[in-house]
Amino acid sequence: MIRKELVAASVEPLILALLAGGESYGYAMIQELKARSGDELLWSDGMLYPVLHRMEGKGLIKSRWRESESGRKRKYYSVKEDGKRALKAHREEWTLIYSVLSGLNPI
Amino acid sequence: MFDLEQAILAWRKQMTDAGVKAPVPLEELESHLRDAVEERVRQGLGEAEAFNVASGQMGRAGEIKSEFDKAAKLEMPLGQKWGDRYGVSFFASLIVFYGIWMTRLVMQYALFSGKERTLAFAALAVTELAVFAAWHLVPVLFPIIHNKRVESVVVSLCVVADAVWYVFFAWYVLPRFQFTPGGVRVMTLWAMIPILVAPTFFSVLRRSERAGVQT
Repeated sequence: MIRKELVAASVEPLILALLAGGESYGYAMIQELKARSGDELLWSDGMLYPVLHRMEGKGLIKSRWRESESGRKRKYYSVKEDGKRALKAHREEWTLIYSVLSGLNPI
Repeated sequence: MFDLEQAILAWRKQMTDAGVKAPVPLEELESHLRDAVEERVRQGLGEAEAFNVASGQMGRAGEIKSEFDKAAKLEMPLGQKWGDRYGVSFFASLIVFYGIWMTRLVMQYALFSGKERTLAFAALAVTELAVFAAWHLVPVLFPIIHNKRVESVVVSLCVVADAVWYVFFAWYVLPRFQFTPGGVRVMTLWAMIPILVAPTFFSVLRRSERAGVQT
Protein backbone atom coordinates (compact mmCIF):
# COMPACT_ATOMS: atom_id res chain seq x y z
CA MET A 1 0.00 0.00 0.00
CA ILE A 2 1.22 3.50 -0.84
CA ARG A 3 2.29 5.65 2.12
CA LYS A 4 -0.21 8.13 3.53
CA GLU A 5 2.06 11.12 2.86
CA LEU A 6 2.41 10.26 -0.80
CA VAL A 7 -1.32 9.70 -1.14
CA ALA A 8 -1.92 13.12 0.39
CA ALA A 9 0.55 14.75 -2.00
CA SER A 10 -0.88 13.06 -5.06
CA VAL A 11 -4.58 13.36 -4.38
CA GLU A 12 -5.03 16.78 -5.99
CA PRO A 13 -3.31 15.96 -9.31
CA LEU A 14 -5.08 12.60 -9.41
CA ILE A 15 -8.50 14.19 -8.93
CA LEU A 16 -7.72 16.82 -11.56
CA ALA A 17 -6.55 14.14 -13.98
CA LEU A 18 -9.69 12.08 -13.36
CA LEU A 19 -11.97 15.05 -13.86
CA ALA A 20 -10.09 16.12 -16.98
CA GLY A 21 -11.61 12.98 -18.49
CA GLY A 22 -15.14 14.14 -17.66
CA GLU A 23 -17.58 14.99 -14.90
CA SER A 24 -17.67 12.56 -11.98
CA TYR A 25 -18.83 12.15 -8.38
CA GLY A 26 -16.99 11.21 -5.21
CA TYR A 27 -17.81 7.52 -5.01
CA ALA A 28 -17.01 6.91 -8.68
CA MET A 29 -13.71 8.79 -8.34
CA ILE A 30 -12.61 6.66 -5.39
CA GLN A 31 -13.57 3.47 -7.18
CA GLU A 32 -11.66 4.47 -10.30
CA LEU A 33 -8.54 5.42 -8.33
CA LYS A 34 -8.67 2.14 -6.44
CA ALA A 35 -9.08 0.17 -9.65
CA ARG A 36 -6.31 2.02 -11.50
CA SER A 37 -3.88 1.58 -8.60
CA GLY A 38 -4.73 -2.06 -8.03
CA ASP A 39 -6.13 -1.19 -4.59
CA GLU A 40 -2.79 0.32 -3.56
CA LEU A 41 -4.09 3.86 -3.39
CA LEU A 42 -6.41 3.78 -0.41
CA TRP A 43 -7.78 6.28 2.02
CA SER A 44 -10.96 6.66 4.05
CA ASP A 45 -13.76 7.53 1.66
CA GLY A 46 -14.88 10.46 3.79
CA MET A 47 -11.48 12.14 3.46
CA LEU A 48 -12.01 12.75 -0.25
CA TYR A 49 -14.74 15.32 0.30
CA PRO A 50 -12.76 17.89 2.30
CA VAL A 51 -10.18 17.77 -0.51
CA LEU A 52 -12.86 18.27 -3.15
CA HIS A 53 -14.33 21.19 -1.20
CA ARG A 54 -10.89 22.75 -0.78
CA MET A 55 -10.17 22.39 -4.51
CA GLU A 56 -13.53 23.92 -5.28
CA GLY A 57 -12.73 26.82 -2.95
CA LYS A 58 -9.46 27.31 -4.82
CA GLY A 59 -11.41 27.53 -8.09
CA LEU A 60 -9.84 24.40 -9.61
CA ILE A 61 -13.06 22.45 -9.91
CA LYS A 62 -16.78 23.17 -9.81
CA SER A 63 -19.75 21.09 -8.78
CA ARG A 64 -23.45 20.69 -9.36
CA TRP A 65 -26.14 18.45 -7.95
CA ARG A 66 -27.99 16.37 -10.48
CA GLU A 67 -30.19 13.35 -10.50
CA SER A 68 -28.56 10.03 -11.32
CA GLU A 69 -30.20 7.25 -13.32
CA SER A 70 -31.35 5.70 -10.03
CA GLY A 71 -33.25 8.91 -9.22
CA ARG A 72 -30.98 9.80 -6.33
CA LYS A 73 -29.21 13.15 -6.32
CA ARG A 74 -25.45 13.17 -6.56
CA LYS A 75 -22.94 15.97 -6.54
CA TYR A 76 -20.94 15.92 -9.75
CA TYR A 77 -17.60 17.63 -10.08
CA SER A 78 -15.87 18.93 -13.18
CA VAL A 79 -12.57 20.66 -13.80
CA LYS A 80 -12.32 24.39 -14.46
CA GLU A 81 -9.77 26.22 -16.61
CA ASP A 82 -7.61 26.97 -13.55
CA GLY A 83 -7.76 23.27 -12.71
CA LYS A 84 -6.52 22.34 -16.19
CA ARG A 85 -3.60 24.72 -15.77
CA ALA A 86 -2.88 23.30 -12.30
CA LEU A 87 -2.97 19.77 -13.72
CA LYS A 88 -0.43 20.73 -16.38
CA ALA A 89 1.87 22.14 -13.69
CA HIS A 90 1.41 19.02 -11.54
CA ARG A 91 2.23 16.76 -14.49
CA GLU A 92 5.44 18.67 -15.17
CA GLU A 93 6.48 18.43 -11.50
CA TRP A 94 5.71 14.74 -11.19
CA THR A 95 7.41 13.99 -14.51
CA LEU A 96 10.50 15.83 -13.31
CA ILE A 97 10.57 13.96 -10.01
CA TYR A 98 10.07 10.66 -11.82
CA SER A 99 12.87 11.38 -14.30
CA VAL A 100 15.26 12.42 -11.51
CA LEU A 101 14.37 9.38 -9.43
CA SER A 102 14.68 6.94 -12.32
CA GLY A 103 17.98 8.51 -13.39
CA LEU A 104 19.56 7.99 -9.98
CA ASN A 105 21.02 4.61 -9.10
CA PRO A 106 19.40 2.78 -11.99
CA ILE A 107 18.96 -0.88 -11.20
CA MET B 1 -34.38 -7.12 11.32
CA PHE B 2 -31.88 -4.63 9.91
CA ASP B 3 -33.38 -1.37 8.69
CA LEU B 4 -31.03 0.53 6.36
CA GLU B 5 -32.88 3.83 6.72
CA GLN B 6 -32.67 3.64 10.53
CA ALA B 7 -28.97 2.75 10.32
CA ILE B 8 -28.36 5.74 8.03
CA LEU B 9 -30.29 8.00 10.41
CA ALA B 10 -28.09 6.80 13.30
CA TRP B 11 -24.98 7.35 11.16
CA ARG B 12 -26.15 10.88 10.32
CA LYS B 13 -26.62 11.56 14.02
CA GLN B 14 -23.06 10.41 14.73
CA MET B 15 -21.84 12.79 12.04
CA THR B 16 -23.85 15.79 13.24
CA ASP B 17 -22.87 15.05 16.86
CA ALA B 18 -19.24 15.25 15.75
CA GLY B 19 -19.95 18.65 14.17
CA VAL B 20 -20.30 17.68 10.50
CA LYS B 21 -22.79 20.18 9.16
CA ALA B 22 -26.13 19.32 7.61
CA PRO B 23 -27.36 19.52 4.94
CA VAL B 24 -23.91 20.22 3.59
CA PRO B 25 -21.59 18.31 3.47
CA LEU B 26 -23.64 15.61 5.17
CA GLU B 27 -25.95 15.12 2.16
CA GLU B 28 -22.98 14.43 -0.06
CA LEU B 29 -21.45 12.01 2.44
CA GLU B 30 -24.78 10.21 2.77
CA SER B 31 -25.06 9.96 -1.00
CA HIS B 32 -21.60 8.36 -1.02
CA LEU B 33 -22.57 5.97 1.77
CA ARG B 34 -25.68 4.87 -0.13
CA ASP B 35 -23.61 4.29 -3.28
CA ALA B 36 -21.14 2.21 -1.29
CA VAL B 37 -23.90 0.14 0.34
CA GLU B 38 -25.64 -0.47 -3.01
CA GLU B 39 -22.36 -1.56 -4.60
CA ARG B 40 -21.65 -4.07 -1.83
CA VAL B 41 -25.18 -5.43 -1.91
CA ARG B 42 -24.76 -5.95 -5.68
CA GLN B 43 -21.57 -7.86 -4.86
CA GLY B 44 -23.61 -10.21 -2.69
CA LEU B 45 -23.31 -8.86 0.85
CA GLY B 46 -26.36 -8.55 3.06
CA GLU B 47 -27.63 -5.03 3.73
CA ALA B 48 -26.40 -4.99 7.33
CA GLU B 49 -22.91 -6.15 6.45
CA ALA B 50 -22.77 -3.85 3.43
CA PHE B 51 -23.69 -0.91 5.65
CA ASN B 52 -21.09 -1.83 8.28
CA VAL B 53 -18.32 -2.13 5.71
CA ALA B 54 -19.34 1.05 3.87
CA SER B 55 -19.70 3.18 7.00
CA GLY B 56 -16.37 1.86 8.31
CA GLN B 57 -14.71 2.73 5.00
CA MET B 58 -16.19 6.22 5.22
CA GLY B 59 -14.02 6.98 8.25
CA ARG B 60 -14.63 8.30 11.74
CA ALA B 61 -16.92 11.30 12.12
CA GLY B 62 -14.39 13.28 14.18
CA GLU B 63 -11.66 12.83 11.57
CA ILE B 64 -13.95 13.86 8.73
CA LYS B 65 -15.02 16.96 10.64
CA SER B 66 -11.41 17.85 11.40
CA GLU B 67 -10.45 17.48 7.70
CA PHE B 68 -13.36 19.71 6.65
CA ASP B 69 -12.23 22.32 9.17
CA LYS B 70 -8.68 22.23 7.78
CA ALA B 71 -9.97 22.45 4.21
CA ALA B 72 -12.23 25.39 5.07
CA LYS B 73 -9.30 27.30 6.59
CA LEU B 74 -7.15 26.67 3.55
CA GLU B 75 -9.79 27.47 0.96
CA MET B 76 -11.18 30.64 2.44
CA PRO B 77 -9.77 33.80 0.84
CA LEU B 78 -8.44 36.37 3.31
CA GLY B 79 -11.32 38.78 2.69
CA GLN B 80 -13.83 36.04 3.37
CA LYS B 81 -11.99 34.99 6.56
CA TRP B 82 -12.20 38.58 7.79
CA GLY B 83 -15.77 38.81 6.64
CA ASP B 84 -16.74 35.67 8.54
CA ARG B 85 -14.83 36.69 11.64
CA TYR B 86 -15.75 40.35 11.82
CA GLY B 87 -18.55 40.85 9.29
CA VAL B 88 -21.28 39.38 11.48
CA SER B 89 -20.20 41.35 14.55
CA PHE B 90 -19.93 44.50 12.44
CA PHE B 91 -23.39 44.08 10.95
CA ALA B 92 -24.95 43.22 14.34
CA SER B 93 -23.26 46.29 15.89
CA LEU B 94 -24.54 48.41 13.02
CA ILE B 95 -28.13 47.29 13.59
CA VAL B 96 -27.87 47.83 17.36
CA PHE B 97 -26.24 51.23 16.80
CA TYR B 98 -29.01 52.15 14.33
CA GLY B 99 -31.62 51.24 16.96
CA ILE B 100 -29.94 53.25 19.72
CA TRP B 101 -29.18 56.25 17.52
CA MET B 102 -32.70 56.42 16.11
CA THR B 103 -34.23 55.98 19.57
CA ARG B 104 -32.24 59.00 20.78
CA LEU B 105 -33.36 61.05 17.78
CA VAL B 106 -37.00 60.09 18.30
CA MET B 107 -36.74 60.98 22.00
CA GLN B 108 -35.17 64.34 21.24
CA TYR B 109 -37.20 65.39 18.24
CA ALA B 110 -39.78 67.86 19.51
CA LEU B 111 -42.00 67.80 16.42
CA PHE B 112 -43.22 64.25 17.05
CA SER B 113 -46.73 63.95 18.37
CA GLY B 114 -47.32 61.23 20.96
CA LYS B 115 -48.83 58.95 18.34
CA GLU B 116 -45.96 59.53 15.90
CA ARG B 117 -43.42 58.82 18.60
CA THR B 118 -45.17 55.53 19.40
CA LEU B 119 -45.20 54.62 15.70
CA ALA B 120 -41.50 55.52 15.43
CA PHE B 121 -40.60 53.26 18.35
CA ALA B 122 -42.76 50.52 16.87
CA ALA B 123 -40.85 50.86 13.58
CA LEU B 124 -37.53 50.53 15.40
CA ALA B 125 -38.71 47.53 17.37
CA VAL B 126 -40.02 45.84 14.21
CA THR B 127 -36.71 46.57 12.43
CA GLU B 128 -34.64 44.93 15.14
CA LEU B 129 -37.03 41.99 15.42
CA ALA B 130 -37.19 41.51 11.64
CA VAL B 131 -33.40 41.48 11.32
CA PHE B 132 -33.10 39.05 14.24
CA ALA B 133 -35.85 36.82 12.81
CA ALA B 134 -34.31 36.87 9.33
CA TRP B 135 -30.94 35.88 10.81
CA HIS B 136 -32.45 32.81 12.46
CA LEU B 137 -35.20 31.85 10.06
CA VAL B 138 -33.62 32.24 6.63
CA PRO B 139 -31.47 29.08 6.97
CA VAL B 140 -34.51 27.14 8.21
CA LEU B 141 -37.17 28.43 5.83
CA PHE B 142 -35.18 28.72 2.61
CA PRO B 143 -33.55 25.81 0.83
CA ILE B 144 -29.80 25.91 0.41
CA ILE B 145 -29.06 27.05 -3.11
CA HIS B 146 -26.63 24.59 -4.64
CA ASN B 147 -26.16 26.47 -7.86
CA LYS B 148 -23.90 29.48 -7.64
CA ARG B 149 -25.58 31.22 -10.58
CA VAL B 150 -29.00 30.87 -9.00
CA GLU B 151 -27.56 32.19 -5.75
CA SER B 152 -26.09 35.21 -7.55
CA VAL B 153 -29.45 35.86 -9.22
CA VAL B 154 -31.26 35.69 -5.84
CA VAL B 155 -28.74 38.03 -4.20
CA SER B 156 -28.88 40.46 -7.16
CA LEU B 157 -32.69 40.43 -7.03
CA CYS B 158 -32.52 41.30 -3.31
CA VAL B 159 -30.21 44.23 -4.03
CA VAL B 160 -32.30 45.46 -6.97
CA ALA B 161 -35.55 45.10 -4.98
CA ASP B 162 -33.96 47.09 -2.17
CA ALA B 163 -32.89 49.87 -4.53
CA VAL B 164 -36.25 49.92 -6.33
CA TRP B 165 -38.11 50.14 -3.02
CA TYR B 166 -35.87 52.99 -1.85
CA VAL B 167 -36.39 54.99 -5.06
CA PHE B 168 -40.13 54.27 -5.09
CA PHE B 169 -40.48 55.40 -1.49
CA ALA B 170 -38.37 58.56 -1.82
CA TRP B 171 -39.71 59.67 -5.20
CA TYR B 172 -43.30 58.48 -5.23
CA VAL B 173 -44.60 57.72 -1.76
CA LEU B 174 -43.26 60.63 0.28
CA PRO B 175 -44.16 63.47 -2.17
CA ARG B 176 -47.71 62.16 -2.68
CA PHE B 177 -48.84 62.55 0.89
CA GLN B 178 -48.98 65.57 3.11
CA PHE B 179 -46.93 64.28 6.01
CA THR B 180 -46.11 66.33 9.06
CA PRO B 181 -42.32 66.66 9.71
CA GLY B 182 -42.65 63.97 12.37
CA GLY B 183 -44.75 61.85 10.00
CA VAL B 184 -42.04 61.93 7.32
CA ARG B 185 -39.53 60.57 9.82
CA VAL B 186 -41.91 57.89 11.04
CA MET B 187 -42.58 56.79 7.46
CA THR B 188 -38.84 56.73 6.73
CA LEU B 189 -38.22 54.51 9.74
CA TRP B 190 -40.88 52.06 8.51
CA ALA B 191 -39.49 52.22 4.98
CA MET B 192 -36.04 51.31 6.28
CA ILE B 193 -37.23 47.88 7.46
CA PRO B 194 -36.96 46.04 4.10
CA ILE B 195 -33.78 47.97 3.29
CA LEU B 196 -32.12 46.64 6.46
CA VAL B 197 -33.63 43.15 6.33
CA ALA B 198 -32.51 42.47 2.73
CA PRO B 199 -28.75 42.48 3.53
CA THR B 200 -29.44 40.13 6.44
CA PHE B 201 -31.39 37.87 4.11
CA PHE B 202 -28.69 37.48 1.50
CA SER B 203 -25.74 37.44 3.91
CA VAL B 204 -27.37 34.56 5.82
CA LEU B 205 -28.19 32.87 2.52
CA ARG B 206 -24.54 33.12 1.46
CA ARG B 207 -23.25 31.86 4.81
CA SER B 208 -25.63 28.87 4.71
CA GLU B 209 -24.49 28.09 1.22
CA ARG B 210 -20.81 28.36 2.14
CA ALA B 211 -21.32 26.23 5.23
CA GLY B 212 -21.94 23.63 2.74
CA VAL B 213 -21.70 23.74 -0.98
CA GLN B 214 -21.55 25.68 -4.10
CA THR B 215 -21.90 24.98 -7.77
